[in-house]
Amino acid sequence: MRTVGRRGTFIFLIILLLISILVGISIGPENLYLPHIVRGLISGLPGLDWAARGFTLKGPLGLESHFGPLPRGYQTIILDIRLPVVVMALFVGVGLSVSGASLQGLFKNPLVDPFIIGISAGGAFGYVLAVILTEGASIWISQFLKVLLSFLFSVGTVFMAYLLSRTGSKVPLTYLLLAGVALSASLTAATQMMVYLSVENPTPVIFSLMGSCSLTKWWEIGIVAPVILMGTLVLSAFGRDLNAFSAGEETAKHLGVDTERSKTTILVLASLMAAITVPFCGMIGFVGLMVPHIMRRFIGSDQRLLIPASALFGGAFLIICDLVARSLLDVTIPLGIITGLLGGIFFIYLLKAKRVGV
Amino acid sequence: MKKPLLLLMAMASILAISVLSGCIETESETVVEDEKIESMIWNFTDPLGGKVVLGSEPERIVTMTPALTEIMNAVGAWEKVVGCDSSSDLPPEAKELEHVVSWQGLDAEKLVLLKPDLVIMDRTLDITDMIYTEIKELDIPVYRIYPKNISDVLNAIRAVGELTNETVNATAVIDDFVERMNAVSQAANEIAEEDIPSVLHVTYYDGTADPWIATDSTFSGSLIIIAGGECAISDSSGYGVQMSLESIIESNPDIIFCSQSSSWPTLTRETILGDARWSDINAISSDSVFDVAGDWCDRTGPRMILGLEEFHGHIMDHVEA
Repeated sequence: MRTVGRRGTFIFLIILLLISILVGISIGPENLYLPHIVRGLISGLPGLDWAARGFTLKGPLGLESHFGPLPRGYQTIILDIRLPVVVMALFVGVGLSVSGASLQGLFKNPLVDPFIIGISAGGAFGYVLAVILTEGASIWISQFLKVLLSFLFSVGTVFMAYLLSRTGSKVPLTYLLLAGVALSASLTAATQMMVYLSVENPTPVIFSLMGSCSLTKWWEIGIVAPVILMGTLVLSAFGRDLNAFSAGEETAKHLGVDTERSKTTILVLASLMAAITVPFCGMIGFVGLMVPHIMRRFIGSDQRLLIPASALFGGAFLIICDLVARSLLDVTIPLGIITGLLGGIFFIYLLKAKRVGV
Repeated sequence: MKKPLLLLMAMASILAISVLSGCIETESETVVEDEKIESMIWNFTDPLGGKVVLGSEPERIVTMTPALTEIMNAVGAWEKVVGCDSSSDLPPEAKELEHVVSWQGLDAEKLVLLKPDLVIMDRTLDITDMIYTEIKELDIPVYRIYPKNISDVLNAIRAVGELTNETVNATAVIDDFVERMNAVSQAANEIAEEDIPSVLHVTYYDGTADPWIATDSTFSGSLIIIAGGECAISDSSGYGVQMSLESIIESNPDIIFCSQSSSWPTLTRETILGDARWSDINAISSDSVFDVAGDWCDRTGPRMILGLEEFHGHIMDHVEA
């Protein structure tokens, strides 16, 4: 019965993900119908460009149905504007949720989010630094440096927190959390100082930091997707080790887990997966906190199931959040604001609904 | 005989005294009257209804926007400017002046040290009235403008002329502006209705977020309309708005202006031409994407006429092509 329930949950999650992808592509300033979407998507495949131009389908008994060309701009809107945004939201949702689920398992703390250990603060710092360094430079140099520095500083901050909290050959997890919080506070202040003193017009910079998947380009997905796919696969394989960690580090060691090595691998992968999203999508907070929590309700806390379930639900969740961000008002609301709002409410719900075991 | 003589003398002296005292009284009244007239001349009511009591011609003036600094220069009152905002860069000497205000806010201490007789500011950039209230509390006279259209800009130039006793120069600047604007407007009226191009003015776009657009309710929008175009994006806010790329593809403008500003991160036409997502738009296929000077169309000063003429030139090239 229980297995059927879990299988049912996974089937439900897959259907939810597919529906959210379709809805994500269809809704926008101009709502698109399914036949247009299907033709737009087909026309993107090599050699199938005819699907966007007019064509005639010949059926049996001389039946013919004629399709006119797709309205002007639809092919671009489907293939180059909406699909990349939906795919990026999918990968970022997967990345942040899997990273969150693994870190919560590792730290045995349900309130850990990949951004708490300094990833977002480091990323924001690198981003603003790149904006200042490339003032007046060409847009391509500026883009390149923004991606490079925000990624390096995201990963660098976690690495720094790791070094700061290391005592001898061990890295106590509580120290790591505290070091992450301390580094985040300093880096956030430094970022604010840079924006305040050096940026001539801060509006676009501040907006970029609020988090958004809009106007994603395919090459950006080409960088983000492999990291997140690989991370999800490897972390899923670490499910058994994470289960052992939930009984405590000592117990895990007795159960035959090479705790320090597992800890480092999980930490590095989880950090990489969250950090790779920052240069392209800014800070999209709380997804890594909310998604694993919700999934734990449905699937239990077995990490071997929780990680793939969080991946599926995280992808659908962020696509829907992005859709809300795009369509709630006339202007696109930064995605980070939507997830932040939901995250805050969710946090309060957690506090009120039950005592949170720490 | 003695009595009438004495009486006569007394009457004469009373008359003399009264005449003399009358004379003195008349003289002092004239002085008072002159001062009254003088102070009346140097008292103003600004377009927002604020009373500006100066008492005498202001010699030390602080301008709070680049456009006001440019207007001071255009009416020949540059030597009276003792401080300005951090974005002012015309005349180039403005960069060397004390900067009392930037987007971070007012540096009240710096302003007080400059001992200005008058501060001229624009409410558009102080919509919350915070800076205005701060300066008023320092007992410094403030004259505020709040231009919403081109005729308000011309009135602001006239007002600055009056405030600085340079009305002749101000009138010359305005006359030149109006004459050139009429010439553009006349030529624009000859464009056949079906040839009027739809124009999109992009003020910022870097490919990672939706573009910022100057809509029909902005100054740039008014310039586009006078220059003979129509705005691709309508909106009533009066400010630039961020507009989804999809809506822009749908609106399909015939001409795109990309503005380069000296105080705003900027884009060039290459950013748009190099971005495949714009390729379905008419302006791209007809090679009608132009770089334009942002300072000429978003600074509400005398150089707006240059912006209008630049827009008009591109629109006419497109119509005639």
